[in-house]
Amino acid sequence: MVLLRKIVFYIFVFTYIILCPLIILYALGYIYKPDVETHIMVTGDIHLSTLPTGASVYINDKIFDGKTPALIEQLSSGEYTVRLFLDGYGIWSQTLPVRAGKATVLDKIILLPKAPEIEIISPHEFENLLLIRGTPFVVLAKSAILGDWLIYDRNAKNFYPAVPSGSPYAGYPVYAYFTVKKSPYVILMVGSKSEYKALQLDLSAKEPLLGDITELFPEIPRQVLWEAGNKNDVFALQGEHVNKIDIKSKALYPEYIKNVRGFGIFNGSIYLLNDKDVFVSMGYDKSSVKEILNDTELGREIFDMADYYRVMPLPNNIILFIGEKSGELLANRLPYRFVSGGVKGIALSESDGRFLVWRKDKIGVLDFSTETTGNITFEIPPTFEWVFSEGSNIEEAFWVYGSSHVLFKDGDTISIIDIQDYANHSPMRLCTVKNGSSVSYSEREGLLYYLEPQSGKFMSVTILELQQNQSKK
Amino acid sequence: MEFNFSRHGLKGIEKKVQRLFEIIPGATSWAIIIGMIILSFWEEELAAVIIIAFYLYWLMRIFYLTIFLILSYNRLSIEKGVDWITRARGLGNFDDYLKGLQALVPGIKLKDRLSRLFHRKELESFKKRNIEIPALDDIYQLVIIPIANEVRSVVEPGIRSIAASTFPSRKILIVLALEERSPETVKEGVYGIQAEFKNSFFDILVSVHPNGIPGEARVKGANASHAAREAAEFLKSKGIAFKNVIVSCFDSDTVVKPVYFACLTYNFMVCPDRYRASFQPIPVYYNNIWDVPAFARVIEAGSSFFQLIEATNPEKLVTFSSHSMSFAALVEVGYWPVDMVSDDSAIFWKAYIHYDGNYKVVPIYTTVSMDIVAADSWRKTVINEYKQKRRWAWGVENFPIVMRGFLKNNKIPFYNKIRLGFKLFEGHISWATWAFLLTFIGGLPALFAGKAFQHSVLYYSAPRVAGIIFNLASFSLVTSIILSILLLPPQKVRYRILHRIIFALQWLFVPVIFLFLGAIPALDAQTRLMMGKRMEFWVAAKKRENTK
Repeated sequence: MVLLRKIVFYIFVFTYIILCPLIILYALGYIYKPDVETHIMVTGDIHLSTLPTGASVYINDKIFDGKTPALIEQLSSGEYTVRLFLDGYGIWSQTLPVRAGKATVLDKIILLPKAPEIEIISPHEFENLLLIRGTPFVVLAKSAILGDWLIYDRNAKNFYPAVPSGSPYAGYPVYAYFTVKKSPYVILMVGSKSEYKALQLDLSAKEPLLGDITELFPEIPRQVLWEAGNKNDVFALQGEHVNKIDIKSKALYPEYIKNVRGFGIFNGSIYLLNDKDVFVSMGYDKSSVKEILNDTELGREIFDMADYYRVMPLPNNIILFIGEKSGELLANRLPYRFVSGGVKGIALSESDGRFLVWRKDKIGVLDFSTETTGNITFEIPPTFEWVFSEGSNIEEAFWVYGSSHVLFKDGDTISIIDIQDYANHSPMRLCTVKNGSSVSYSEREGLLYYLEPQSGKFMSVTILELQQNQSKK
Repeated sequence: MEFNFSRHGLKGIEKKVQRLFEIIPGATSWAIIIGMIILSFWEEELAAVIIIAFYLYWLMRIFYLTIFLILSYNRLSIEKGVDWITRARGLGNFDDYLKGLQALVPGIKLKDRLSRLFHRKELESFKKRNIEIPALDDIYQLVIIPIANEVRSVVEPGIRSIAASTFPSRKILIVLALEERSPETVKEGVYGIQAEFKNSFFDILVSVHPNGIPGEARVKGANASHAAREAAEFLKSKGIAFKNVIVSCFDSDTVVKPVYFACLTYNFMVCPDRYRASFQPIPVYYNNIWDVPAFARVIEAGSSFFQLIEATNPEKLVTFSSHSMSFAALVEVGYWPVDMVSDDSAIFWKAYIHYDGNYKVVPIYTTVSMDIVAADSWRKTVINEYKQKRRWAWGVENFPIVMRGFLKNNKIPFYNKIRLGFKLFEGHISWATWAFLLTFIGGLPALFAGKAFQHSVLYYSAPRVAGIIFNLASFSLVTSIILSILLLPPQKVRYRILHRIIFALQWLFVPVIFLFLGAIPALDAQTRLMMGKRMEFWVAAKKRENTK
């Protein structure tokens, strides 16, 4: 037994010594190929994953033995035409590069149905819809009159009026409204500029109208801010000062902060750019003042004296500034100025922290994530890249399928672009919507809500064939 | 070589060397675990390559072990029906007996034929070496059973099993080794056993190990050594030569087969270096196997398999749990260590260093059965299992002492020092680290993957290679399941096929069990040793249903 054990031991040792490097080399992409000069070739892979899954894969017109999600291995370096076919869906085709030892990854391909699944949610005619990001609510307006406003709860799938029909405010036209991402509260200014009423709505309540808060708004504000989890501490920008409002105790603190050139709130702190180009943070009660920028020269170089900035403090100490007049996009990271003007909106991707930035004509991605390897290195600055530059009147944009695609409204047309690495960024047209109306996209449901162009009906179209959408079929 | 096989009484450089070798195992295990986690975070690609290399090594290792598990199991099966006492008697008339074996016996089963063949080859080899064989009639068995808190119902089945031996029980001396601190009920039980079974054996002695003897710890070895000294006095008084006595130190719950002492005696008689050898049966944990939770069965089956595999490698075999040896050797080496928890393995290392490397362990292909630790509730059983496994893993305390002995002893061949030292070290390190590497660390490179790694061929190929390796490894798992079922004791009437199916399915718990009741207790023990903390002997709670 001892001798046998020794023999077997040495056989196993020998086998391991031979097998281990071979398996590691194979795992790294090395293969033996007699027809190449060195007989050894380093290959690359293509990884494709689609929604819905199960698409047939053709590589350079040869069918691949397997359906998506698919890993096509042992490809020599070069370019490959990849086409995906799935019954009932449009053909997906792209030329992808393959590099030695690398994997070309497109793991969030959306296959669009030839006949998109459209659902009429309400047959009534609406003029517009109001989007409140991060909430399940869509506000639908048949006209500018408040009594014609309905609220649609996407989770409960029901409609209810914004104000009861007998309400004294039902006949008022809506002059302005203020919403905050992830908050079900809406502050409405109804009436006219000279004779207005300020109302607070809670869209999550069966009777949304909370009350008349006109006394807390001596003027119609330029901007109203509160945090999603705190409806009581409200800040209203009026002219060049900020009023603090305590909704709960109905208290108004006029001119709480003066000489404001930029303003934002985040996690219980106020972020303030004043007329001296000094940028500070402080608590809501003006305690714990921290100077973030107190270099007048640098401040003037960064900020435009004539502009007002919407300040957007974000996790990881990132602060974005959007010029109200110029539409320039600044950040507290080098090189400070990322877009020189025209920015209409930004949206944060919850999946990877990247920002979608859109102007009338372009869509870009701002990425603050920097990869560190643990070695001494030069810091990688945030990157900004325009991923689409052929727009004419882009008004809204949404991240879709994580941050792999962008859905946007350009004029009356809704389109989607794949912005993954290696993908070509040409837009695919999805549908048209009612002229001048807004749209609402729900990533959780994979649905786009919109108003039908001619009839103004409230509709949804399936963008992502998620499991719940597939089971509906 | 005279050597202080203890961590106590050291001075100067020897104390520092001891401390250094106490730190090395724990530090190595932690370095491997933390190092791989850090590497998975910082250099995912390198970590993935190392993990593939490790997985392959693990696969080869378990294939290798599975081969010898099968061979060892077959050997155990072949020897199952052997009439060992007839074989031992046959040695008294060696030449005629050998001739009888050489003659063809038609119509016997293959396994009996193989058993005869092994037996004949053994005797032919023995004859060539012209070594004297002791007379069977001169041989006595001394069985020492240390008892701390075990009640009569735990101890008695073992005594009954010894009484039922095919080896003449009148030549078996039993010492029930009580602790002075043992509860009265335990003491009563022991004296009850002595009274009931005294006439079944050569004698039953009850020794009471006093508390607080200077230089001793509260460990089983101290009790066993005290009992062995009392037995030595008794044997002297009876004029029995120590070289004719085989001593077995059994756990209190050990139940032997009727052939155990006959098999042991035969192996002792045919072992050329019988006074420089320990004899190791295969421990199985079947006394209460149907009364404990599934996870406990799996881990104990794993322990039995480990010993089955080890039995095929006598050059590196170390004593474990219940074992036997020449009483003369035990007296010469100074009995079991009295300040170590792992007295079972420590006695081998103590003897190995004492005899300058001229000491070995002879596997004997018969089983001794013990209890699986159990308690009244599932949770308590888990805790008890954990504590028992940590105590087993505390065998790492041997490492610093053995290394010190190896450094000091110039007569042990260097190759043997390296070979045995490495096996001792590697065994403990793999015990503490493999389950971590196989369960969650293996997936960390993918979890921490940065964009560069996510876009590499390795990112996609590594899980596939790992999957193939794990699928291949399932061959070993299936083999283990089959062998574990084959090794099971005959079922009681109330347990039928369903229990055997459950017994097979319980192996699905293997990854979790080997992490929580394998690697973590081992790492716990190594960390304690590394930090200079000590473990007192913890007496495992054992429970049996339907026993008196």
